[in-house]
Amino acid sequence: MNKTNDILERLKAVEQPAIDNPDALTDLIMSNLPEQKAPHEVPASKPQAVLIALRIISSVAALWLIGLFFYLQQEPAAKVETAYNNKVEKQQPAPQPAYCTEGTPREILMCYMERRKAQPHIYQQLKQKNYENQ
Amino acid sequence: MIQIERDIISRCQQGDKEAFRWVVQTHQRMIFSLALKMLCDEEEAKDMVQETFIRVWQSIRNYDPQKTFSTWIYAIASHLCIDRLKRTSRIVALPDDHLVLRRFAGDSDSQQSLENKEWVSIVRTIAEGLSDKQRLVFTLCQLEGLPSAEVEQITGLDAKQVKSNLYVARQTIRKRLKDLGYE
Repeated sequence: MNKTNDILERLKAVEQPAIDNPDALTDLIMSNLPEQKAPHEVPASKPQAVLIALRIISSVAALWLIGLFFYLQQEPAAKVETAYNNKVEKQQPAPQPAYCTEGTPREILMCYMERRKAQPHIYQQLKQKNYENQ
Repeated sequence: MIQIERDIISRCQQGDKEAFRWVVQTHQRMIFSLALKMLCDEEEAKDMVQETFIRVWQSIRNYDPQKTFSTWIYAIASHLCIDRLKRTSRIVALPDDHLVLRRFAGDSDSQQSLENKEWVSIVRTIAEGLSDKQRLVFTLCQLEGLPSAEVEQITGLDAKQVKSNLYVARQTIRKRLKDLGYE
């Protein structure tokens, strides 16, 4: 056994430290004892009515936004692009802007979505142009 | 846990101070031993014993009887020791401490006993440079001789952490003793 292990093993075997006057220390501890604390009480978790209402409202709003997102992502039916159609399209008046300004917020929204639906998809247009330029 | 200890703890939980006196008398030496080796100061160690038992008294109603009572007290004392070590300056060996260790290492008497100040000198010499956590794990495992499972419960560390802290502590002590010419 090396010296380090020898020292550590002997320290374990030797008599442990002792208090010189244990009774005096006990008396000192006993004389300084404060009042006991009450055991931990877990408060009953009862959420307030306002919180419940907020949760419901935010959940409904989130669902509505998700639905709106998917609805706006819907692509119009792909048009068959031909040279004739292109000519016809060029002769047609320029498409209206995608925003509306008149009416109630609901009418503005419906108008916006209708116009957006009517507009050709930008990605499809770019793809078509790229194909025709090749 | 034996029935008598269970009854005494139950009485303590109901606020019986005479029952708590028995708890103090039974466990104060083990807490003093731990505190002395951790803090390396006899007066600080006594102060720590007092603080530990006040804390035990205050929270004894939250004691879970599924755990060993001495382990629970050790855990409280260990946390208080670590807190105090963080507040105090680093423990360093004094010049005369090496002489005490040399005398202890050179004495072949197997029935050797040490005074408290000798314990302090030896621990201060060998454990210099250990982190608080390493010092705690080393003291509990090596000097107090507690099993690893109990040290895990006391410190809140897992088996791997206890093992690695003990390994690093032993390596540091080995190097330190080698530097002092003990290898």
